[in-house]
Amino acid sequence: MATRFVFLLIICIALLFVDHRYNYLSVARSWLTMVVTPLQWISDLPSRAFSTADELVTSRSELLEENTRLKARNLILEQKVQKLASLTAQNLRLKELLNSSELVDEQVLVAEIIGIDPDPYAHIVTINKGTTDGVFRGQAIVDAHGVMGQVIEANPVSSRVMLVTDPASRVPVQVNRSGYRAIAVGTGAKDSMELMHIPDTVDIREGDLLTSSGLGQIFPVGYPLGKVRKIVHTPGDAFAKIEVQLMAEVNRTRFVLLVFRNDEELDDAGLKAQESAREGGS
Amino acid sequence: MSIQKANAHWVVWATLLGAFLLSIVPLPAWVSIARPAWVAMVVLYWIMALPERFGLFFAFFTGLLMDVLLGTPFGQNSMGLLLVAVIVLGLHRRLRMFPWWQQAFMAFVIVGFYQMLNLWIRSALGRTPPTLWYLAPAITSAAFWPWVSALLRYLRRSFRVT
Repeated sequence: MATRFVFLLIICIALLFVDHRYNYLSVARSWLTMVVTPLQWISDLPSRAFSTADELVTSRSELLEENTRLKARNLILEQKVQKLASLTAQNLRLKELLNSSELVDEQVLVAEIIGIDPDPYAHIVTINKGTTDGVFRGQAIVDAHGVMGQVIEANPVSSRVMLVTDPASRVPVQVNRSGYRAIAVGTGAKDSMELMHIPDTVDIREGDLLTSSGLGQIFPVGYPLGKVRKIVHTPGDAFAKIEVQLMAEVNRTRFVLLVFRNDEELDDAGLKAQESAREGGS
Repeated sequence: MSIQKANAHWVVWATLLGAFLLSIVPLPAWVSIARPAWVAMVVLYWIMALPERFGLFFAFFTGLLMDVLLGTPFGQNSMGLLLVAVIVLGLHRRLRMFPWWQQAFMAFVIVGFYQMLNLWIRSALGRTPPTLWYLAPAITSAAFWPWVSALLRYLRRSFRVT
């Protein structure tokens, strides 16, 4: 028994080392994930059943009320979109004037969160789109309000997404008002992040909007991350402690958007992704 | 003993499947900090009850499957369950004789070792800052142990798992 134990222990240590340092095992992992995806699906059944039951028993008056509300909201959004078209055109012209070849438009693909990592110390969710839909490692995830996370593991039919609130997550941001660049750090809190290494004298005020600066090559430029909620200057510390209230409803939303930044990424995704992006975008 | 034919092993796999499901069912964060280590408990029970059938390899492969399911690095849970298996294989004769409260205490110690090893590996790989909250599952596992073991014993007897 002792030899077998030592043998297996050595295999474990070797696996840990290889999995941590190299990428060889990711293929095996992504195929094994196919085997356990049904388990995740089953574990999600109760909440799915609840929401279905909820939909079934919604009364007619509630539906009518919601319908009116949504129509009103739609009207407002459409009005904003009208302006957006002209603004986008104007923006493009101005960028052309500046000789900037930056791509303005991003395509998105709608995905649904189907699982939450049971580990309470990590903020990781599973979504129902994978490499067959063109998802790739390092892809940015946003929701209707702002930056939400990035893909850390793309499997054939599902992917794992690290939310921006995860302690291992960093987002390069820019203060919208002053253009000051900083790095936001996940703290493990549910709806906030912190800015790293900000000197006391920098021009940042409470309520400032932070947008992604695009410098990390993962999050596309210009998506809102959050607003500065609290700034604490401690006399003995070298840096200010700046708390950021996130825009994205990281803990509440069920649908997320996968961002394809350019044509190459879209080509990889193929026709299917483009179609769903159009559906999701319209 | 080893001449006896294996019987109704599907019960073991079914209970393991149940434990897997329980360990990924979404829970509020404050509950999930103290989520009992269901898989470790089930592995503990079957190795204690049938050490001639289930042993190190059983624990190792269950752990690998768990690593895939939880997205932890390959080897983390397998090493933890391997540790559980080796302790239980050494102690199973005594464990079976213990009254329920002493057995629950041993479950606390064994699951505690399992959690501790997990915590060490995670912090060594830079995944989480070490915190002693990581031992909370050991306490809840011990609290659930009498019921879990009673249920598994009932299943083992009624399906004559050997």
